[in-house]
Amino acid sequence: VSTLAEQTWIVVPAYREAGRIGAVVDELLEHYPNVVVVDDGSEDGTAAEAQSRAAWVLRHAVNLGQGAAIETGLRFALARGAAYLVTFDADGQHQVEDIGRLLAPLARGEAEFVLGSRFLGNAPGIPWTRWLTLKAAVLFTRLVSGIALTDAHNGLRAFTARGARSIHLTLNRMEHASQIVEQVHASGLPYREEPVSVRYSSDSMAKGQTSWAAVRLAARFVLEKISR
Amino acid sequence: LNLFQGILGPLLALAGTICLVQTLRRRMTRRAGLAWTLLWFGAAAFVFDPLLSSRIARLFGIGRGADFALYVGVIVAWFVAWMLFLRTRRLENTITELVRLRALDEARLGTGPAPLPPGDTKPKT
Repeated sequence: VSTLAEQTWIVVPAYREAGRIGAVVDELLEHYPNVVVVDDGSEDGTAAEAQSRAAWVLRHAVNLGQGAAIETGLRFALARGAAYLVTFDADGQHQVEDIGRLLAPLARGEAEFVLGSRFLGNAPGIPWTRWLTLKAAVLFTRLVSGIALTDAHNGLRAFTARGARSIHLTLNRMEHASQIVEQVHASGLPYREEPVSVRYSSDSMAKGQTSWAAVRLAARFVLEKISR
Repeated sequence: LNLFQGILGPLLALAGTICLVQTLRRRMTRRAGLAWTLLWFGAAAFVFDPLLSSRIARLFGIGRGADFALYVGVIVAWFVAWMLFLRTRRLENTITELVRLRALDEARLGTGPAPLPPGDTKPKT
């Protein structure tokens, strides 16, 4: 009988993370044997770093965006028979110990999706501009998708296989986070939020979304909704 | 009929005729064919009868024909931009799918040490 950890596949979308991906994968592999790194067209050796660990490595020939990388990783994990799937950022912001908290409600059959929330948990060092942008995203998601969450754009999420099969990301870049939330809501399957920690560093902030990028992201999400 | 009308008018009418024939021969979708046919013949009509735009403008409560032409131009420009956006999205989706299929085909398990069973402590290096 396989354990919960053995049934779980961790999907790590990575772009230009050669300096950090090794440590992230090492830590994940200590607890979860099935780690999938989707290198999204990096030119800096991200794939080689991941390849030197016992992780599955998939490479996009060109940079498509985090949403596309997550969709690729989810498809791969589902094809390999994953029972539970987790998305985990490659920049070291997320804590491996939070994964267990996300998986527990799935394993108990209480939910098909568990979304991490830094506002239920903690986010030490979060800049006020980022706090404001994330809160605006929460409000935007509530208005546009009709789903009330405390943290709409957290990269740490867990799905059952059934839940993951109802996710089909067509938005390649960061707007995929809104699309995931919308599809979770549209699936009609039970979901919940769990507190997680997000650690901010100068490196992770440098790669984060600016407020202007968030506005463009919202515009692209709305355009996609209209064009469907 | 001035020189401008004599050259541009027939060209626009020809373009409209070509679109109409292509639509009837089902080489264009009915919707796109009719839209393009109307556009070309409409443009030809405005060239042959410069006062036509003023008459239509008055129907819509717009004072000048030039203003009416400007408004129509803006609407057409937005429509074209929207069509181009949709086409770009379709292209993006196609490229994404190609890149994804290749990535899935070439997935490789890393060469690092096999993970220990969960619960065990990984030896520190």
